[in-house]
Amino acid sequence: MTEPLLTVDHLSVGFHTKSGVVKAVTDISFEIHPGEVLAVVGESGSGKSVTALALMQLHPGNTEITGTAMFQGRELVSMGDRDMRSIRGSEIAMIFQDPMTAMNPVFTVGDQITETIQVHNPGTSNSAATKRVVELLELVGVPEPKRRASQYPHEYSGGMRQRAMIAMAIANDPKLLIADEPTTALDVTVQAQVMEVLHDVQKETGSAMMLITHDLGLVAGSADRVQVMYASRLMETGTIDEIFYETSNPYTQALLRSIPDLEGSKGALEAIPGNPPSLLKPLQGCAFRPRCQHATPECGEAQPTLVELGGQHASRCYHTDKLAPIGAPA
Amino acid sequence: MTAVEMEPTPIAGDSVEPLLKVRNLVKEFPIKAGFFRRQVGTVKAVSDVSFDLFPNETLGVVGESGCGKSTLGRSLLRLIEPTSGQVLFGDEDVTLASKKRLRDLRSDLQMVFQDPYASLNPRLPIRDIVGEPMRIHGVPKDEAKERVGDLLTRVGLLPEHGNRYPHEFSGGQRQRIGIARSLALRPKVIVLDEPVSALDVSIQAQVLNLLEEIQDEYELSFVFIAHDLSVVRHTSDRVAVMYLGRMAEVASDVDLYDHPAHPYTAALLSAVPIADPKRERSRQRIILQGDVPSPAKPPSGCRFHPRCPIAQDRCKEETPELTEFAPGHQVACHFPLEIGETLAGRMSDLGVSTTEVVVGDAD
Repeated sequence: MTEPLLTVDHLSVGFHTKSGVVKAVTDISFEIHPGEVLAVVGESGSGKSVTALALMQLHPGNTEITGTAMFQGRELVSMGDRDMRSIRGSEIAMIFQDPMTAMNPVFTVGDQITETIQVHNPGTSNSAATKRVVELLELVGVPEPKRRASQYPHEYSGGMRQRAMIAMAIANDPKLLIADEPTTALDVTVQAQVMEVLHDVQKETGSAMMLITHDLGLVAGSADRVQVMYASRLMETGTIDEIFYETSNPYTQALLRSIPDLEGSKGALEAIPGNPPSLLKPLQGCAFRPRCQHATPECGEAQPTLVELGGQHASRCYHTDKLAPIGAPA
Repeated sequence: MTAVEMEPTPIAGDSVEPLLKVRNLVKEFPIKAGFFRRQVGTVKAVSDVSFDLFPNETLGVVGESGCGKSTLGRSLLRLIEPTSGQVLFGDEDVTLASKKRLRDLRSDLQMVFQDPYASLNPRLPIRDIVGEPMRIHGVPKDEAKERVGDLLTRVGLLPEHGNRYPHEFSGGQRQRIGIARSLALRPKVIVLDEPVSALDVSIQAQVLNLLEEIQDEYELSFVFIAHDLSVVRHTSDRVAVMYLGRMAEVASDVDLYDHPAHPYTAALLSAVPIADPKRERSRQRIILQGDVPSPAKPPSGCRFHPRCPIAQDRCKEETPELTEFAPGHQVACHFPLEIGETLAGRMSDLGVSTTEVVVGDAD
């Protein structure tokens, strides 16, 4: 196997708040390889976005981070501001959920992409940068790219704005794209357009992508590998087929079973009882135990380790062998 | 009026009288600008919408943002005053009811809102929130108190929770509180406006199950407004698809999902991601061009024609009426897909490329 692009080792993130330390990410290790799409799935508060923000040092000031993240021989967590700035937006770029708040409303879209290019390549002339902006907008499918470059973000529709944001993210040919819920704010027909663009762009530039989402449908259609998070922990990781067809963690299984399908199955959904735990108090044992139908006393004592299951598959559960295979939905 | 009077055919057998009949409902919002706030245009949010809601039925209303589905839902209860048209509850036209009469009618017609954070008064304890409709409608205090306890238990909370305030509850629990409030007056119809879209999937399933249970128990009819097609299929008996303020297609859930006749419905269904990698890999997706146009300047003729992959000249000029296509299956399209015909099939018959993705302009 090729050398990983990014190796995250025992990453933990805690937020200091008035009521104590919130453990947003607990001891997470993973790798991203060149050119692959790693989906990070989880519900709100599972720590998926915080992981990405911590890697890019975009977290708020009250944060405590431990662990390491090696990116092409450089360590990201302890990296100084100046070095981080040179990586952010050039070698690692991020696409946010809401393009309206991620863009500056008082500069034209063209100006903002130009800035991204010139900050990282100070020698680029204005005319060369403008030419590149038009190329980029064309690549992401913005019609009339020349005219559109001189417009402001509010003149773009939601889908177009997200395209512009993708153009900005790929302006410096990043090795790694982090897309945090890139289509959550969009309608389904527009979501299909934007995902298509994202894939084409990723293929064209050969960059790896970390796709953060709560939508298992989106994951099924676009990821190579999946990482499932729950209550700040990594519960299961594997290739897309391992996760969907050889599900080995009760949480992943419950999640897959709780979504209604388009095929029209009626009757009660297999809901997961209860709510996710508070991350303010230290969790005893497995984080999913209070909601898990397979839980035994053992689960309450110590947190299970992430057990390798062969292939790229690993699950954090004592009862992996007892789970009925979920199989492909009939 | 270009609108043609029409009577949708019920699928539940002709003997069943609809509970709610909506006829030619229109809602237009004025756009005002300038110092004198002169009207410079109108947003045609809901245009000439007609449908029936039968007892114990769930009618799903789907569409993308700005298609008018929420405006429609609110107009039914006159939380927004409709511009014209009728909403007949039994024999009574809700749109003509006096203020006092409307208050009575709302004990039969209730609503659950999307945002469980904004729809509960943060300064009131839960028992007052759930009990308020009963106070307004003069239910004796003792009885109301008892009913609040029962309702909270019914939606999966504890009667003691009545003393707490909304901020002490999670999103899913708040949505349960909203449901308890809507049930307080034993309504016949509940309009649910995106009731689960703010919730995580594991919680979403809990709330969907709860809705199903209370529907049977209280013999309710639901108008279920949502953008998530999987959720709508799961919950609905019949489904109405809206596009830019108009009904594109209305059919039973099986007919609509398995044999969509309107090209918009077909494209919408093909864009929904499915949580099954093998099927995702083998799927042929029809990706629509461009964005939904502004309802302030809806396209002429069929409002879907600029994005429609199979549009003909006629579609640009003539507005298709919602007509009976098959028993219980209505569609507003000049060239609907026949049963068994796919949109991709029609496109290749017409020589339209199904793989090339052309992106239309946003404006």
